[in-house]
Amino acid sequence: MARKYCTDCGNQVMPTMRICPQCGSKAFSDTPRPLQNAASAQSPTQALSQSFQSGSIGSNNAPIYAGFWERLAASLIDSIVITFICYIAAGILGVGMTAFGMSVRTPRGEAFIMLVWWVMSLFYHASMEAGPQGATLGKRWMTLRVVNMHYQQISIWQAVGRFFGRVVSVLTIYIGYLIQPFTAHRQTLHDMMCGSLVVHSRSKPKSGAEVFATNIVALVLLFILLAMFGAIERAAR
Amino acid sequence: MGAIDYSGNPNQRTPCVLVLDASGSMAQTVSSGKTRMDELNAGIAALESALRQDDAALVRVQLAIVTVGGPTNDAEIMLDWTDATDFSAFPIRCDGATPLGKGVRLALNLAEQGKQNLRAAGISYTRPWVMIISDGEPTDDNDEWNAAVSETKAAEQTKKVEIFPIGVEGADLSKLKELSTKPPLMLSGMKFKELFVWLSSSLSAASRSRPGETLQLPSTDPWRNVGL
Repeated sequence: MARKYCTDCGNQVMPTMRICPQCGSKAFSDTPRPLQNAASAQSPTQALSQSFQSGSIGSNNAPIYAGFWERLAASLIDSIVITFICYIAAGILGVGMTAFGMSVRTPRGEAFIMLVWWVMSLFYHASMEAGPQGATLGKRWMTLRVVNMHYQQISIWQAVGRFFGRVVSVLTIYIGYLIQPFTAHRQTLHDMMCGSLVVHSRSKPKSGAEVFATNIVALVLLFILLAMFGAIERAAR
Repeated sequence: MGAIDYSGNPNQRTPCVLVLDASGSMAQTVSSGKTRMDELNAGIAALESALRQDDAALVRVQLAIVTVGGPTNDAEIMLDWTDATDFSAFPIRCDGATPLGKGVRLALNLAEQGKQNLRAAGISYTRPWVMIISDGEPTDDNDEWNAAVSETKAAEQTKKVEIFPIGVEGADLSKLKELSTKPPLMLSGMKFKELFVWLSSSLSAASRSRPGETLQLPSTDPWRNVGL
């Protein structure tokens, strides 16, 4: 029986095939795609298949799972947002506590401020990741979203678990984070604990240069912010 | 549809649409060290092999495949009607969500189209089969899912198709239950090969049946989870 070829990945298929089972293309030709150079001696299907097995390629040749540097950039952006919100909130609380004759500079006052910080961080992460967009501001910027193993929105409890799972990832001296590029579904330890995936949303993923630039800018901004709030705190003492 | 040349094979046909869950959850690794999708792909290869070893099935069975999720992250007709003689197995890549209701509705339309094509070609046929294999919760909206449920029930009641819902081990059967008057069967382990070998011999039996005859299908014990 005559065969046809996927014009995108070169996969050879039955003539009654409507969609390429490997790359999802609907365009076929009657002739095989010519090899471009010696490097493509490995068939396009084999190369693509290997990429799929490694979990790095998704629909329309876009990556499925978020990469390590993209997630780091999203995390740095979130750190900036949370640092900003929490310092402002801590400042307001400090003023309020002082007005009621309570000192922020006691262990109990500092513990209270820390508790507020944690609650606000938890609220930020859990409400946004379990929300319809499935992403914090950082992840939205990086066109990422958190989904469950069925690619559906995660529940609020999964999001809460994911937040506390991060503590475990940190306690493993960040190994819980560093394993991410080496796991089958590009999961961190807290992803595995909560059955979550971080994937690209339908938007076009950022280019390598954009990811690099975002990491650098976000890191610099975070340092500036921390230095600024540190200086304010020292001045207030 | 790619035109099938019936001149060389005017035998009665038994059409079968496979609705295969190729969503992201099928990428989960099972005890064999392979993913569920690897096992399903191996099952499709076993189906081709079993069909080729059965002379009656080879000339009478027609297959079509609807994927749910998969490389396009949607429900799509991946393989249009293909005679078993021309069928060769192919690996499917899994990804994305599970729009199962949409997939089932596509399968029902495809079954109707297949019958029309056979009628137009003057080829007799038995009732088409729609086998739905899924491991998870459908992600369709309620309207799509409810439409799929009412269409499958209507199609079964009017004897337009035979529907076989199969849950991959660990699947929530409550949704699959809604798709047929027959209770869904749960696959034991990852016995996709046994399931597809059973499908081949069952289709072979169906293709040899006469109108009004009660069909005796082979036992499902080799692949069914007997706990259900």
